[in-house]
Amino acid sequence: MQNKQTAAIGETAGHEKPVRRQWLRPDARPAALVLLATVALIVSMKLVNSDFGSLNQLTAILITSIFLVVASFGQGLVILTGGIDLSIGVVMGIGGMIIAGMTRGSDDMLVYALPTALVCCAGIGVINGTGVAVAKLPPFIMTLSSGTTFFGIGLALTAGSSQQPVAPALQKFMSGSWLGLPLPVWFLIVFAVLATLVQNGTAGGRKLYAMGSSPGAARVLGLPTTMLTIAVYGASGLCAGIAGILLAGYSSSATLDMGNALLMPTIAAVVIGGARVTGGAGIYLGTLAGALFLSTLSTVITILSLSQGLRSIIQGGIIIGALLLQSSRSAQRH
Amino acid sequence: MSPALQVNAISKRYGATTALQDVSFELKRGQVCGLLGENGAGKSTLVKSISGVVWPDTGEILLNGESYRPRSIVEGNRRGVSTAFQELSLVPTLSVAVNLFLPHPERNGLGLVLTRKLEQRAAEILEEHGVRDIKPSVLVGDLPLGMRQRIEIVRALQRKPSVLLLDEPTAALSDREWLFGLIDKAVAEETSILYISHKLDEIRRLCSRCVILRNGRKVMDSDVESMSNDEIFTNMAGRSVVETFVSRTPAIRVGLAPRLEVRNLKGPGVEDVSFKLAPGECLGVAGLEGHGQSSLFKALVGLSPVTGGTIAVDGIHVAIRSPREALKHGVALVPEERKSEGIFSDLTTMANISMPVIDGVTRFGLVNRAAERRAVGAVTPSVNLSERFLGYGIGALSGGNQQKAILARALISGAKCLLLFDPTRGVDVGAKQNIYAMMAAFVRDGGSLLFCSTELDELVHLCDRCLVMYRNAIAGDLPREELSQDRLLSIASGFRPQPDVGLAAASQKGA
Repeated sequence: MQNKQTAAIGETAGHEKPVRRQWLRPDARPAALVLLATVALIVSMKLVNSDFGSLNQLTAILITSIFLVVASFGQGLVILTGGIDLSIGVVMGIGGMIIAGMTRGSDDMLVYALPTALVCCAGIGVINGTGVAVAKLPPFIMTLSSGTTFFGIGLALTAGSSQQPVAPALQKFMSGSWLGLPLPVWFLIVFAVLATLVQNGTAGGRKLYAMGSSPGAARVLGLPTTMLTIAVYGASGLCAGIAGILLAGYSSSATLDMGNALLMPTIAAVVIGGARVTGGAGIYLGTLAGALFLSTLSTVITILSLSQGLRSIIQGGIIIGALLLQSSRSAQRH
Repeated sequence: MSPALQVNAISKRYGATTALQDVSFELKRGQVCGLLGENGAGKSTLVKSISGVVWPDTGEILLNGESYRPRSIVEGNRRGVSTAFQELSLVPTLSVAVNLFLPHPERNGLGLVLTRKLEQRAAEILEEHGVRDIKPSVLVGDLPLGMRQRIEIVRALQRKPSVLLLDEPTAALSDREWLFGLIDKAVAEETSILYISHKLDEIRRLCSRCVILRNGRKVMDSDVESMSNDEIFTNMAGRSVVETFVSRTPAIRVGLAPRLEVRNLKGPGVEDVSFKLAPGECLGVAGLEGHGQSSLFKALVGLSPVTGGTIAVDGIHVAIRSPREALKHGVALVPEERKSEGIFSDLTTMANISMPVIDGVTRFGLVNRAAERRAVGAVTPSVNLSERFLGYGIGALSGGNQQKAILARALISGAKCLLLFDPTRGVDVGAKQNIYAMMAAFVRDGGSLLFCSTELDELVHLCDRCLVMYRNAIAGDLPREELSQDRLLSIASGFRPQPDVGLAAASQKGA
């Protein structure tokens, strides 16, 4: 009896009106929007240039998007916790260089080279994470300076580019196909499914959202924030390493700076996909859509033979545009 | 003559919560009008609407008969509306002098702020307002809360406003007469004052009229003299809530080791604190704001460092360096700052509650929604949180429901000792009853509560025993029979209680 009475008070006193359920979860909306934009981009290119948009060309876009899809997963995890990883470009280069340097054009050493490269890349990430979580350095300074340092180390040990091609097996992987689909596309599908599960299905993923949403509450609640932060930067290093290895296989050789051009797009993919730059919101599906959109855009720019300057302007403009859209959306809420 | 301030039917919503609904009132020239209401009744939102911090969704405000829609505090100031905020609006990294003249300190021809001139002017202004113990060159961050509050008040007054809003100005003030004198002087100069407080004696001393808000609506607007204290309290509804709460029988389990035993605990903001908390006991912590309650709670869960003393849980000495370790020993904190330390505003209510046990509701490494729902469903009835809120983002819920979710989360963690810091602040009446019921059930089942509240009547009615803190130390330890608001307040204000020699002697012996 008492319970019933207090329940009634609770309902009326709060003045709460339930929000209407929408057919699409709000956090999936940016992903859908970006995918639509990608389709629109392809269709409009097709209208301008009927040669564009062949199946081969679309698969080629998918294959070139794989580096961004992989690397921006790591970036997305870091951004989810409220940080940022500016060492991704360098780590990609280092991953590729280790593979190229160790295999020297033969497959014999590949079984050792792959784990070595991945462990090194993840290790750089762990160092970043430790700096951020334990030494409490601001993430952008920590990752930027560790990136610069490791670039320097790489430059001292190598000449900055591999002297020999990477293992042929890797090159074959990037150009082979299975059941009519290129192997990299299979890889992309499997990776996307796993990444979605990790970020949006596991308990660890849930904790990352909590950390990014309110670091203070995460601390009071006793979430293992230090370990999670280190793990997240480690994962980002690992993803960058994988992307670097794939990139080396794709271009059959490696240079230390080959990943630099991909750093900004990893951030862009995450932001376009609807993730909040300060952490706590955004799903991997959005990041994936953002990566696909940017890769399509990049191909379009190449086909239109626009200058490098224009390419940068478009990329920067898209990030700023996405951020403006985000802030106007959150301003509406308040 | 048109009234100094006329508020016509303003409403304001935050997400799904209505903070103000159709509130209208008038403030005549040279009048002091009291604004009363429970925490969360909408007083602060009303003040913010008038001062220009938030914009009301509907309704209009007239200032001296002219339309007034301030888009910022600065615009409000320019129109002659000045505010001393409850959560002070001073910049801690700047000096008292600079703070007094914010946002636009006087500049010389080169556009530079001359510190010495500024401090001279500041000293004059402070002197004018009867403040003699604060140097203008000191950084505000280095001052205790009471001094900051005085600066906040002086800053609002020195602008010579036509309408002055004082939001709980005596919360941290030791010398209320100082403020009353200033108010009398301002009224003599035709300033109109809206005085927010929930202290009745202040309202009776200062105000000719008073407006009472409850759940965002105006429930009363009348002369103070014609109203009895009971009438005012009933309208505020705050007092009656606790009093209607059935007084429970003590559930203290005797003969067991204390759930929490703290001896000579020292740390930043905590000076030599000792107490015992038995299983099944609700131990209150009273004190005026800023007397160490917050630091004590933080030290107990390892959020702030402990420099001396011991903590024992269930008779075993433990070192607690983080909330994580505290939770391992069964001690969980429900923090003071709900927004920044309590909720994860981007997550659903369900995810907020299940967070402590999220690792336990997985299958093949993935969160099993059905298991999560079951786990959460097991605790929500204890706080009477409606299931229909679970799927919504917690940010869209009212303060009361957010607090219920946070308490549900504390329950789900399985902690046997909860440290509740002001769990009913900014919470509506219904939720308060639910929270009291949850607390009673928790101790009945053998749990222990350390319960800090700024509302003395809660402590009086809910606690088995109550500690009173003064200047970061424990100044009193009152058993249930001796609890009264007056008693708590007098000890919290620094008057030594006569019969309380035993504890002081004991703690000295310990040290």
